[in-house]
Amino acid sequence: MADFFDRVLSQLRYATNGEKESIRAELEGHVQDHAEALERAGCDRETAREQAVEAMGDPEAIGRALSREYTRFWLVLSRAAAAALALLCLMAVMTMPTGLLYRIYSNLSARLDPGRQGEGNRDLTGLVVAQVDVRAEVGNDILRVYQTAYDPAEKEATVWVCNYDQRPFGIASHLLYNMVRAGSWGGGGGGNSGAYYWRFDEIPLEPGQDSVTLEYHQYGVDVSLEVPIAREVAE
Amino acid sequence: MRGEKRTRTRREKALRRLAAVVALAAVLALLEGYCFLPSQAVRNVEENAHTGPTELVADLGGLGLKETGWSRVYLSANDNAMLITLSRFSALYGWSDYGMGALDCSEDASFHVSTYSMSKLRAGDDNWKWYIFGRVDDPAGETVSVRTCLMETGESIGEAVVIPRSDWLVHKGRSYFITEMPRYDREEYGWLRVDAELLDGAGETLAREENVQGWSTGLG
Repeated sequence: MADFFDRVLSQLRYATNGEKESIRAELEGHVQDHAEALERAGCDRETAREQAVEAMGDPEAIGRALSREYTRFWLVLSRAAAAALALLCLMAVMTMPTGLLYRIYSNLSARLDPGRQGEGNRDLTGLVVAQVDVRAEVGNDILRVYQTAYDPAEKEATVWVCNYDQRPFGIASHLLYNMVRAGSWGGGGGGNSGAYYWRFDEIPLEPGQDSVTLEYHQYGVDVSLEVPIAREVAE
Repeated sequence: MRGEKRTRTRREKALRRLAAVVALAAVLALLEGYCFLPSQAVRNVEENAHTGPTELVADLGGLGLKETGWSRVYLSANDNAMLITLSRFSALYGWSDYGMGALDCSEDASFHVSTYSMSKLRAGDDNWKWYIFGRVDDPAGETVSVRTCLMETGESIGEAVVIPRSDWLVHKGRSYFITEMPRYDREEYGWLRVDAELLDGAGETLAREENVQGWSTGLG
């Protein structure tokens, strides 16, 4: 009987070892079922098994018929897909923690607490510092002013700015700080693809002027962002 | 009957794996975690330059520089901007934007012009490319003429690069131009600048831009 199954399986060119074992078990099941039925009908065990195998037909013909079901195409596709999946998983593991996840973290930080990651090299001694939240859409990005300072001695203002994409996983422009105008560039321009931070220094304030304006005019987009400047410490 | 079931199982296994590949690739692409196509780098450049979406005007092909691997250079544009994107492949990050040049075309002008140079560092002096690109908005314009000049005196070096209308690229009714510029040795000539002119059919100057501003990318 083992010879019968071997002859069937020898016709399966593209079946894997696992699939051949599965086919063998299934054929054995068929033979076993048929043999048991014959035994119940009065045949002795040996004869029943021989007749059950014989009833299966020509093993080569069975094998050829099964072989047509196990085409090479699906095997190759399955293995190629498995390899591609493994490669993609590797790429995701390699790039996401340093790229995408860090970008999302930076984006959310800029939304929730920009002062924590923001540009902080300026000495604030003697300045009137205020936390503000003034935002404007610039293309896909949000331009946000999150802190201001007023220097009573020089009568100048400083504003701290960041930008981040409107989508948490989107790319923040690293060129925006070059395109926004207000006073002189004071420092920063650092960050990552999630958010960028910088500040404008030495923005002169006239008597009675209580705000400064950040301007962006590029590629047909015009944005003016008015930022209140606190001249005195709030009570 | 059972044979059919086995076949379906094998096919289903392949299709399930394939679906997982497509889903993961879609997630990575959607979240911009991995660029599978060189043109995806253009989207990143649009985000960085803030131009808004652009459409492909020309695929300038591979960079063709030594030691730079797989690369593509794209010229894309919208009504207000032109972009040059240098897209380069790395196995880890896919197609990434390694360099860019952007030109603001939103203001009324006869023509808009900029330059973009790409060089592969530590690979020899000749391993670089320098493009001049722009858009012509004056319908009377027939030729763009570009000269490389000494920065201080404006004296021309070599022959002017002439870009006739027949070499312009027309996309959605707008006329764009891009061409490679000859290189001159800065050690020999000192600081250089590029002057560009738009000429009409009679060779008269319609507009002129001195010291054209540009972008550059050094590939490590």
